Amino acid sequence: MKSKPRKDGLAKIIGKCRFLDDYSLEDMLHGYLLYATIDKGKIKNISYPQDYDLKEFTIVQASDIPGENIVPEPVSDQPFMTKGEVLHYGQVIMGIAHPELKTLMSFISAIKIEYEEEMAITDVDTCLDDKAFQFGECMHISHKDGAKVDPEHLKHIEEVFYTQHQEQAYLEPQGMLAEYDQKNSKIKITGTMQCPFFVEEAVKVIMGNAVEKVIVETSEGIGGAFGGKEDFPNLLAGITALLAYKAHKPVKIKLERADDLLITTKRHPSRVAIVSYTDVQTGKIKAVNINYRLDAGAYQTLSPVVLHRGILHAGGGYNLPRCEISGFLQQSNTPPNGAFRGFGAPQAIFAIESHLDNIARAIGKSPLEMREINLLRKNDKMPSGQVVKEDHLHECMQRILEISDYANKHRQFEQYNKDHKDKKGIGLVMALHGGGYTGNGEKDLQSKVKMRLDKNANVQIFVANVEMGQGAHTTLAQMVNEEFNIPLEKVNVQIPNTGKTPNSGPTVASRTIYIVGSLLQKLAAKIKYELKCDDLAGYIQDHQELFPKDYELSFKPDPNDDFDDKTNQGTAYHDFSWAACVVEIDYDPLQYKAKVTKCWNVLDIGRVINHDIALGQVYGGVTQALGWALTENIYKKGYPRTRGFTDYTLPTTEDMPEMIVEFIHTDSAVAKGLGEIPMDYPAPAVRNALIQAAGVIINDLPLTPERIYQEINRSSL
Amino acid sequence: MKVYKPENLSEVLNLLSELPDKKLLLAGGSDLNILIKLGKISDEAIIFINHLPELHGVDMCSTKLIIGATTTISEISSSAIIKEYCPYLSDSLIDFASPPIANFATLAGNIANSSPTADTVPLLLVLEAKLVLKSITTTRTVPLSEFYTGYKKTVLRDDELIIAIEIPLNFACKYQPQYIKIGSRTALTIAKVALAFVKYEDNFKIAAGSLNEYPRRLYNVEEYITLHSQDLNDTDLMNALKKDVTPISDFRSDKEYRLQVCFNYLQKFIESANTD
Amino acid sequence: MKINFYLNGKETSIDTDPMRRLLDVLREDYKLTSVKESCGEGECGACTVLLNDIPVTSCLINIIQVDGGSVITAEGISETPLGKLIADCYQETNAVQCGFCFPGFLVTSYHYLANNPDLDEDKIKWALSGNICRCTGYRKIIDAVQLVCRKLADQELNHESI
Repeated sequence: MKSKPRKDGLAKIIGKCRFLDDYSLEDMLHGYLLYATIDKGKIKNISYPQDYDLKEFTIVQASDIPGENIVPEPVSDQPFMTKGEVLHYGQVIMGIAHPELKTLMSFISAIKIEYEEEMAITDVDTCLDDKAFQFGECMHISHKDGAKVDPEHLKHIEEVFYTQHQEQAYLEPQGMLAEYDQKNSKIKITGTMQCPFFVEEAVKVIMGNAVEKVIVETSEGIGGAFGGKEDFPNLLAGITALLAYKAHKPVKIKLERADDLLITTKRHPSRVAIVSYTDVQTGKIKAVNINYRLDAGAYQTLSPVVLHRGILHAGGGYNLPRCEISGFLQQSNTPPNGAFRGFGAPQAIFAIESHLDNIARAIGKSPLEMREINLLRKNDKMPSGQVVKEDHLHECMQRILEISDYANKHRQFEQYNKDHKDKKGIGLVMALHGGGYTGNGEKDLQSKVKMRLDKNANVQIFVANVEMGQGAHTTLAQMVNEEFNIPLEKVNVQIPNTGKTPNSGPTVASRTIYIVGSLLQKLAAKIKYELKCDDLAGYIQDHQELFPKDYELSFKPDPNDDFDDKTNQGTAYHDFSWAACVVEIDYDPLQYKAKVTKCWNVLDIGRVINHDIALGQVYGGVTQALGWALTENIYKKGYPRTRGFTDYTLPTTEDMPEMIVEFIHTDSAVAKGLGEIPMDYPAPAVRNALIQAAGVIINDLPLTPERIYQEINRSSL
Repeated sequence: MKVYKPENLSEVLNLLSELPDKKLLLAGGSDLNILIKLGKISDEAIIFINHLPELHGVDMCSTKLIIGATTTISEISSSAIIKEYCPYLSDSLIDFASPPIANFATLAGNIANSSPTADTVPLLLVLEAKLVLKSITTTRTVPLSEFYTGYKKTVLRDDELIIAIEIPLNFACKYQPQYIKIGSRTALTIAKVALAFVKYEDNFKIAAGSLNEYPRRLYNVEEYITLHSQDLNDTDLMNALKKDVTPISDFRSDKEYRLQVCFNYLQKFIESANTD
Repeated sequence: MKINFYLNGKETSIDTDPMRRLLDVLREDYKLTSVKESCGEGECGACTVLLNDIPVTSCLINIIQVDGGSVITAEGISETPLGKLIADCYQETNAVQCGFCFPGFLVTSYHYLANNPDLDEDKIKWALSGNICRCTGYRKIIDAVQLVCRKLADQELNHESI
């Protein structure tokens, strides 16, 4: 199966593709953010340095906001700029612009701010462990499918799992460019983002009636996002727009890496407490109680949506006949956390997959047996009550056991470890990821897509979904062309521009191919049906007067899908992607270091549109997950956050395991989500492998050598 | 920043002696530019030396290898002379930062920057390396083991620069050191622990990096191993080590981890040396 | 200070603060925007260029270093026969994703492939270990470099440097 080459490939390879910082306009000012450097308190005084001419600078504060000083989010509780109250380090106070970048930055670093500091909660464990810090709405799932259990005859295990922040570390830092057209009362935003319509709304909110029109267009290239550019761009664009409005000149803000690390959104740290009751004889888990908490940071913003997905994935790929799952957001005085590939599911799956191996050991069964006994099968019910309509998770497991030779290797590694100083370990996990927005989300979004056919039979696709590296614009074109069958060069997704495209929803939630791609395919099929032709080019040739013509289609949810947001019962996700993973590690006991040597992946993502691009998503997602599992952390108790890639250590070429990837059911009618699931499973697989390799049972991430040593030292006391 | 581009070494020495206040030497710039970025340098005078052929290159005479101050890490690692006479130095430099950085970072710069985590220093210490320090009035040779006096403090005078690093041949050639650098990942990593170890005749030279204010020889450990080669025990070895190192906890690592890992590799190196 | 150097094969001269970063001079004065700033501390390789034919991270190179020397960026490399072959192979393996790190990879892999390249995966990984990619997991990048090695061996292509 030879994959079509990426449409954006060549321009990117030779450096011709333009990213935000490559854009420059005449008269353009450089902008930047002035932010608070305390964790909690009040601003008492701000004094500008004497040796600068203030008239050269454009400064915007909360008092300059013509519209509303609230960033639109699922819960809109975060101001664009503070009026004086500081709830976290990095809280934006002002936007400042100047023609010279160097002058701007030295001016900002010379500004003196006096604060009245207050007690702050910045330690992650403190935040997560204490119910007192809970805020926002809690969420609950109650699932009573089996008979009430008598705990007396069951193995009862209670444990708590913790995971840390993770920085998306897109290679292109955040940035926005705003232009104010006074004559037409219009603001145009260009920038690196995932959700042009979210950004448009944010700029409309902050500008209020001061401008009549807001247009948002993405840069030609978006240098990685992974969720990190889902909502922070709202705040950044709002302030950049206000600066451009006040200055009557274009303004570009591009964040330095240190500030991007310090103040933008991160993966939520989590605390997942699991109480389980398992039949010792059969190995069947009878009842589970899960308390799932996320450190949201200072404001809720989109955390409730992460929480929602988190609790709906907390049961993992397992049949839990009776379970109570509660989700809580905890508040801390740290920058609000946000979206990052997986969006609450990696935290949930880390906990349940680790717990399963712990149960196995406690009742004398193998990790494999526990999974064989408890796996979600066709017709089983998930905690949401949703019935599993396919047996693909089980097929993934069968296949991975076969290709990885898991059972034999497990035995071989046991023997190897007896005979050698260096050690080996193997871990097995299962995962799932619901495609598209949770519950009624897609119904509420009412995504709409547009296509334009021109006189030369070029097909222009208008969607709001961005190309951020994941190959969306190539795969969407391929999906449409499966219907039209014309040269692929003639089918192109247009750069998302809110003035030209309908709102097909944000580029998140593994929905781009699954929801938007399938909607585009339906539209293409509809066009062919309406035109009653098989040869599109020929038809257009013969009917020139009818073209160019626009066609649109809106998303229609399956009428059988029903979801109750209060009880979290119903169809949580119309389709799930499924996966199985086996990880082999080498362990060096001299430096307590785990190294992943092999990673086996079997996934059901339904129909694979472009095999190369799909492989790339698995390779990339797994690598990110291994970073999360082993080396990445922005925070260590007692220290300020890290400010550079020197200490935020991302995987390099030297950290690559051998990767074996297989997709099953690739001829399915449905193309399901893929973007996030490769992030969901590797971390617990490494953690489980480490039990065999190092003899340590660690219920938290990251599994740094220091953490492993600490555990070995502790258990040998 | 005032930048000087002297035509030759003489001019460098003149500038060093005449310019008042703090002066900085710019060789490759891999450390200097980080300091500029962090705002730690603003108006110091900068003397550019990377273009001077007198300071560049790997040479040798009958008694020693001579590495010019502006020779890059990559050049040293791939030098035919170093590969022949000191191949473990060549190997140890492979993991220095990353290939692009090793291509312009200099050995003298790494030494002069005086970071407690300087990658290159522990091995050079056990190779008995010496630094040639020159001023307008003097030329002196200082053993690397006497170069550092405290955290970021060296014996280098205001009017001096390192012009070369010398490695004595009679030592470097004959005995094969063992060396380990522990980082948070394999490439592009700062050392959390570094250990260099060589056994010669019945004696030992051992040096550690990232465990003190500056990389140093572990004299207590050396003495203990030499005196107790037949009756080594872990407790006494650890006690000797604790006299020689004062590891700290920081964002990168924990002091308990650093101490233990250093100890583990010390044991390993002793065992390897004894079985040879 | 006046700095004279060859840039992508052409003689050029600039009078500027000698401590300015090569990265900034290339992007701002010469509009060579393939050279990207991502971390500003030599830790990611997105700013990699060839200085006197060897890869360096231009965010840590002051323009004074360049006087009398030569600089080659991805723009220049993409015009050479070897550069074009490398780009084709990256395209053939569909290696690129967001593209931000790719000019850096093009420069580093060009240097590797122009100097008696070894097909050995470990050697390739080491040569590229200073280039960070957050999207791809590196697999297809390595595959592409190996593909170039094989093609070079097949064709015995006489690649030209500028």
